Amino acid sequence: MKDFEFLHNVTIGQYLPTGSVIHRLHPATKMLAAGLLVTALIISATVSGLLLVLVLTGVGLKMGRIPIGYAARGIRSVVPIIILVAVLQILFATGSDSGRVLWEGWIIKLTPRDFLVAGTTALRLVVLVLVITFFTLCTASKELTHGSERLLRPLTRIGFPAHELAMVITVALRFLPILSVQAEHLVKAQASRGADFGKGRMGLFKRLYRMMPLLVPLFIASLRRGETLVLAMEARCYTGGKDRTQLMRFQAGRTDIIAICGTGLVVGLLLTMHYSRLDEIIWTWLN
Amino acid sequence: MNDPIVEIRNLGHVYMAGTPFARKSLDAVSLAVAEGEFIALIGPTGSGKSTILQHINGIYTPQTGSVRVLGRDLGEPGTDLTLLRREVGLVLQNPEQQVFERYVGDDVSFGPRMSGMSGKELTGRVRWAMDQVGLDFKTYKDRPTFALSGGERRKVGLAGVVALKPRILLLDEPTAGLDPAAHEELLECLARLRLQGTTMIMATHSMDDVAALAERVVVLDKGRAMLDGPVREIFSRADEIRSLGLELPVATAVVHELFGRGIGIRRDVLTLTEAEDAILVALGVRI
Repeated sequence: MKDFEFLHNVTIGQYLPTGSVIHRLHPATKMLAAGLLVTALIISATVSGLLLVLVLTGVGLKMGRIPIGYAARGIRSVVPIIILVAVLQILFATGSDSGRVLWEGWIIKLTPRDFLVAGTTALRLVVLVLVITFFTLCTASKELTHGSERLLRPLTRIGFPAHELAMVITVALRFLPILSVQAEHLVKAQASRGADFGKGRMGLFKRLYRMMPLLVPLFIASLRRGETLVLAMEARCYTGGKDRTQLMRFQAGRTDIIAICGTGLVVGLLLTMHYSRLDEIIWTWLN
Repeated sequence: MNDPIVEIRNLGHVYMAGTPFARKSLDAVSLAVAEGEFIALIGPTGSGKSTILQHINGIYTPQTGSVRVLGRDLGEPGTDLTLLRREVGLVLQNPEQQVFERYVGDDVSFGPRMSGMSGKELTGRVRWAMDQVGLDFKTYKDRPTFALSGGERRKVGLAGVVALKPRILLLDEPTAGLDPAAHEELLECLARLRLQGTTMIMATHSMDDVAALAERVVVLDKGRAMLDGPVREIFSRADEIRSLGLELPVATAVVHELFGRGIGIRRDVLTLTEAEDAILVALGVRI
């Protein structure tokens, strides 16, 4: 392992405070917008639709004063997964069309459509990672609590524990960077004792076996930390429930309405757009 | 000075380089260490002590400047860092949190096992390492690690590194957070290792530890080496030390205070026994 800074290439889950318009949006707005975009990305089947979201994310990043290069850095760590998915798509996806067959043998049948599907899937994953990264870069974890509590509030009427769930989510998110730093510390300690991580020659099981010395102390430390947290909360007489008021109050304003409407518009466009000129061009080019 | 076994030239380091979170840790540090020296690195939190230590055993490779350890250039891509780390042991902060095996003996033997040692040789090495840190082999080897006290666990963590018989031992705040008895034992253990000719570099906030163990001290501030010299000489420059926000060893502080009140007393004092002597001389009780 050359790079012991675990957080260096992980941008997903990071928060980058710039105080921009986007950052100042109501947390619930950001969550709703991100949710809408993710849903649209998953449903949308067209390349042009995905590109539309990509452009929208780019504009959002610009408005949020987040360096696009930095946001895109997070894609690096998911590249292996994207390639794997794309290759599997190409090899095993069975198109129902009776178009041109490039190669056929065993259970594998390669058609131009496979490549189109694989390309779309890869693009979809890239945009997905980018959208989620964008969301976390402009949303602090405490905002997530407020946002999820606000979004779930209608459900409290039927006895849904909105506040408690929001608390659980926050605590879980709070633990992630701590765990990451701790893992970094442990890897360094193990490396100092002559453990050999990074070299890619070993097999999966050996690699997992080598991870054991990492996972055990990490697990123990998180349990301990959890216990301490519970004690600290108890010591401050924490109780959840609907009578609890909040220190920070977020007010939804005009920008929130604009943001939601804008995102809604794009998503609506995306879902009605089954086919576009661009997809047609790609399709004819492939055939 | 003999040929230095550690030679750091103009070392610079930036954490999270290339991201909005980039933070400068080392500016341009130069440091040469001769075989058998005991050097203390002192400086406020964030002055770069830990970063330097982690450069010496190749956890980090130099971004700017150069690091040569035991004749190897750590900036060179071909350098086998795993082999280096077996000769340069690093005990990170809170080593007790890095203990991961279920039994003490297994944990101490991790390093030697990783370097391919087994059988009688391994047992002998573990026994030796446990002796060094003051853990009785028979009593402790089969004790579950979770049943140990904090001080004992820290000793186990230390033994795990000592078991590699490193030529250079790097210690990051080895005594922080220990109770007085455990603290005293740990100092004794470090003095013992020192006698065997191990070169030691210790980052610490405890000036009394520095006075008790080190012969040379390097004062760091904001990623730069501000002062470097024999312990006695550096601590006699009380004003400079204090202006960097650092303390003096208790004994040194006492004689400086007396001197400040107009009492003619020698000030190059490090330990309580020396302070006692100096005071008695100043009182005219002893000559």
